[in-house]
Amino acid sequence: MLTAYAATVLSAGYVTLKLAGSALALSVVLGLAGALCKLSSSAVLRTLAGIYTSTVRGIPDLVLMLLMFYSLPTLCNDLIAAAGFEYFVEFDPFIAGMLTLALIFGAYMTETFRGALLTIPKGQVEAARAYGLGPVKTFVRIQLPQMARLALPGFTNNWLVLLKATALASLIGLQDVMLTAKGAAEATGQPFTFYLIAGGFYLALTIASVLILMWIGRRLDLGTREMPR
Amino acid sequence: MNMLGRLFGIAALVACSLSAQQAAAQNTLTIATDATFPPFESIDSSGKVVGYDVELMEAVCEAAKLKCNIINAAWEGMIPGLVSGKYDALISQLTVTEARRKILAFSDVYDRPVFRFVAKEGKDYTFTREGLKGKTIAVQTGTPMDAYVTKTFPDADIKRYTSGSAPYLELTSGRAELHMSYEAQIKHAFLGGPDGKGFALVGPRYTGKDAPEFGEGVAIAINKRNTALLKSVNEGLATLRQNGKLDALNAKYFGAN
Repeated sequence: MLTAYAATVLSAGYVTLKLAGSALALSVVLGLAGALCKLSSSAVLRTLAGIYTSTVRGIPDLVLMLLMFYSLPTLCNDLIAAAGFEYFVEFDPFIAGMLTLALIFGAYMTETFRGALLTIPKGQVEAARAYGLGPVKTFVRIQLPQMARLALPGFTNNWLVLLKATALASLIGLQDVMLTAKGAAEATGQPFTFYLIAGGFYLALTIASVLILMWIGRRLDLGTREMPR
Repeated sequence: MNMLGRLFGIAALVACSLSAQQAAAQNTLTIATDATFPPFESIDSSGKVVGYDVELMEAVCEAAKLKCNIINAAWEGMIPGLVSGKYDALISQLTVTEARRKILAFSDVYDRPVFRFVAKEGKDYTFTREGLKGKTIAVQTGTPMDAYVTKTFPDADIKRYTSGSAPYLELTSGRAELHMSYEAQIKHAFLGGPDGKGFALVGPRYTGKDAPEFGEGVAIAINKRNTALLKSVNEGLATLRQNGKLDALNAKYFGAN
């Protein structure tokens, strides 16, 4: 019976991974947009991005998660009703969890990407423009590849924290590894067994992530690594 | 910048398509339970919610011709979830109290649980304020047992835990002398298993008549605005009482008391 419960806990790992993966993809998009806003010449965009990162990074993750799950749909529905439409917005735990994590880690990614972009010498951008590359091409061909390399350590850090932060979604009822482990612990009266299994799951994933990202880092460094003396 | 516009466009598209998925089917009722309290509600080894409350709710839905989906939710978020309309009803051994009546509507009471203390076999206690002075009592926080013990035995050393299983670990490890919970839960989760050897129920059998903290009984909670659902749930419960299904369920889970 214990092994059947253990299998159920581990199979909930699919939900955890799906949440972490989709939140990561969204947070990278948000992070890129945020970093470009912060470095843009427009004062409005800079201010907006500044408000975004300082607000989101200043509020506990759990508070944001609860606001997104309980309060935001209610607010949306009130607004929609006030505007006279017949539409009902509802976030299920997965969507609320994904949007919250994307919002939070988008802010951290913004800072990571911004820092990396600032490290790229300005002369490179100027040279690219002088060669007739447009702003998009300059970004995609010149800045983005270098940013990827420079941002990798910060990105790795953000990803590890994000992966572990998915456990917060168990508090809004997402059937992830954490909530399933809790259910199994209470059903069998063996909390240590199942929390250890859950802990092992997260640890295995983070170790695997670090190894993969280290390998990617070495690939990205190929062009710039100094030869051993 | 041109590119920024594109990025925002993509982000907006993603956000829109996500919320469009959320036009949930409204005809199936979502009923939440905190599946961490066997034998009333727990998950089985395949992750499905099972237990007395789950079976009762399924029977009520069948009798009242409602389509119900019973889901596992965290205790902390259940009442806010009901108030904000995320869940249509809650069934989780919810004790009816005056404070809860202010924010929730309750169905008719479906069970009047018995609350007991459990301790080492052969130990004798006097269940008065003086008698339990300095004794260590473990309870699950936020429960009627917590409220009762806190008020009645202020001189005892009360340890509170968020889960239902932790107090038993404290009993077996000797860090707590007494634990108070539902009689059915003590029997099922502890005394019936290997860890419960050498422990026994002690003291009186407490019910709602003994103290207001134990409430009027347990009932299904429903959103205050949803009077139609309240009516059908009560009709469903009445049907189960008449056709003997409630008695059969009680006999299945609690034996002949």
